[in-house]
Amino acid sequence: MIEFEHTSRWYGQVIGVNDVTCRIGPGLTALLGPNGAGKSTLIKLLTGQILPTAGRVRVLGLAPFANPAVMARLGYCPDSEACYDDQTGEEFVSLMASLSGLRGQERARRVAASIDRVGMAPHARRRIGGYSKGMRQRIKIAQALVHAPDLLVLDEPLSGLDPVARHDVSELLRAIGGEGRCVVVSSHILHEVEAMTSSIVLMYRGRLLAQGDVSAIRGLIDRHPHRIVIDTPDGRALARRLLELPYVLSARLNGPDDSSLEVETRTPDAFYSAFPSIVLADGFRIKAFHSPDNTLEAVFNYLVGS
Amino acid sequence: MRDALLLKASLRDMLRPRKLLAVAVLSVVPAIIAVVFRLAAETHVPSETYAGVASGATFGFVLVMAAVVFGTATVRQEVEQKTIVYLLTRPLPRWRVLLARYAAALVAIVVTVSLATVFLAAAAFCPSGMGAAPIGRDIGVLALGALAYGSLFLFAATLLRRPLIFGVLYAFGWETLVPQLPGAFKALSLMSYLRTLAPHQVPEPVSMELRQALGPLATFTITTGLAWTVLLSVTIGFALAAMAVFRRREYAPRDDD
Repeated sequence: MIEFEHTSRWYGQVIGVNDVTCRIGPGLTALLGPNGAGKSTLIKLLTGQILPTAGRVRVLGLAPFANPAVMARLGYCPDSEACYDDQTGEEFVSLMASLSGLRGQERARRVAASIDRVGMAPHARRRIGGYSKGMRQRIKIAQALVHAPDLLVLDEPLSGLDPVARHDVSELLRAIGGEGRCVVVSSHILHEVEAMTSSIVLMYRGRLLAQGDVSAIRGLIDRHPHRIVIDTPDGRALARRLLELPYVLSARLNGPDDSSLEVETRTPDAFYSAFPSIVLADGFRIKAFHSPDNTLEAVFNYLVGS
Repeated sequence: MRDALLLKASLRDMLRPRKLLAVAVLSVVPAIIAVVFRLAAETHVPSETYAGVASGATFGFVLVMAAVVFGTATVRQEVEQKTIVYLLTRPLPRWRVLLARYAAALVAIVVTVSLATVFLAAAAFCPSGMGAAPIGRDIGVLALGALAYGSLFLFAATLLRRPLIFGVLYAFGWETLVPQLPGAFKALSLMSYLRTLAPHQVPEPVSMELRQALGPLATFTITTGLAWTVLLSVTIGFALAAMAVFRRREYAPRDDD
C-alpha cells in the first residue's frame, strides 16, 4: 500500500529523511523513533503534503502529493492540536465528511458512527475550543475515520490521552488494522505502541534503522546477547545447570538472597525450548520469568547503540 | 455541494469575532472622517464631503486595507493555525479549495466596503437624504476593486510566508505614492483605474504648470474601457497564477520530529 524508494527529503541544509526504502502493507504498523528521527517528514510525504527531494513515494500505487485519488482513500490525523475551534465536534467531522464526498443520510450516519467509535458522542455538540487535549485528539481521529479510508495515518495519536482513552484508542486502531486496512501510527514512546502491534518501522536521524516484526528484528541483533531474567529461590543450582547448555553465555545472580537469575544467550529460541524440560526434570521452583530484551525499548536501544 | 460547504466554512472562518471587529472598524472610518469634516468646515457641501472622503478613505484606505486583511487570510490563516492540513488531505483539487477561500474573502471585502459607503453617505448627507450620493456606482466599482486587489493578495498569500507585510507595504506605499506621480506612472496603480470608473471631484495632485512642463507624459489618460480591461485582467491573471502556485506548493508546517 505504501512504498518508499530511496526517498530523501531535505529542508534546506537539514535532512528530514535520508534514502529511505521500505514498504508498508495492510495491518497496523508503528512508525517509531525519537524526536527528530524523521517520522513526521515520512508521514507528510506519504500523506501528500510534501514532495520528496529525491527518490519516489507511492501510496496505493499513486504519487500522493496533491492527488485527490489518494486522498479519497486516506484518513489522516495530524499531531498538531489545531482544529477549527469555533465549530462543534460534530460540525467539524461533518465538514470533513462532506469534503470527502459523503452526502445526506449516509454522511449523518457515518459522522455519528465515527464520533461514537472514539467515545465523543456526549461532547459532539460542544465547541472544539472548549475541548481538552484528549477530546481534541479523539475528534481528530473521528474525522480521519469518517469516510472509512483504506489507509489510516495517525501522527502521535495517543499523545495527550488519559490511560483509559489510550487503551480505548489502541484497541480501536488494532481493530481497524485487523479489518485488513493499512494503519500507520507514529510515536516516540515505545511502550505506547508495543501493546498495539509488533510490526514496526524504526527511524533514527532521518534514516530507516529497521523494519519488520519486533521479535524478528531482535533476533537479528546477534552481537547483543539476549537476556532472560528468572525469579527463583533455587538460583545457584539453576545457574549451574543452565551453564551446561552450550548456548548459554553467562549467568548472574541478583537481588536479595540471590533470588533473581539473569541468563544471557545468543539463541533464545533454543533456550526457551530447553528450559521447561530442565525445570521439570530437576524440580526447580520458578516464581517469574521474563526477558527485558523483548521490549521495543531494548530493541531500539540496541539498534541505536545506546 | 462540497464547494458551497467549503465556502460556508471559509466564510465562518474568515468572519471570526476578531475579523468582524476589523470589518466594523474599517466600515465606520469614512463616516467618522466625514463627521469631522462637517464639524470643522465653515460651509458644508454634502456632495463635496462625500466625494473627498470616498476617494481618499473608502477607496484609498478601506478597500485596500480590507483586501489586505481578507485577501492574505485566504491561505495564511489556515497555515498559521495549522488547519490547512485538513483541507489539503481531502479528495478535492487544490484549486477548488483556494477558489472557495477567495470567494469567502471577496464576500468579506464587499460587505466591508459596502457598509463603509452607506455609512459615509449617511454621515455626509443626513439629514437632507442620501439620494444624491452615488452609492450604487461606488459599491459596484468597489466590488470590482475587491476582485482585483483580492486576487493580487491571494497570489501573494500563496507565494509569500508573510503576505501581510507585503500587503501593507503595497497598500500604503505603492498605492499611495504612485497615483500621485505625474503622467503615465499612474497606470501602474490599480487605484487609478478604479478612480476612472468612479470619479470623485477632488483636487488634482499635479498642478497645471507641471502638466505643461511634462508635455506628452502628462496627457496620459485612462479610459473606461482600459480600466475595465486592466482590472479584469489583473483579477483573472493573479487568480490563475495563485491557483497554479497553490497546486504545486507545500504548505505543511515544518515541525519535523
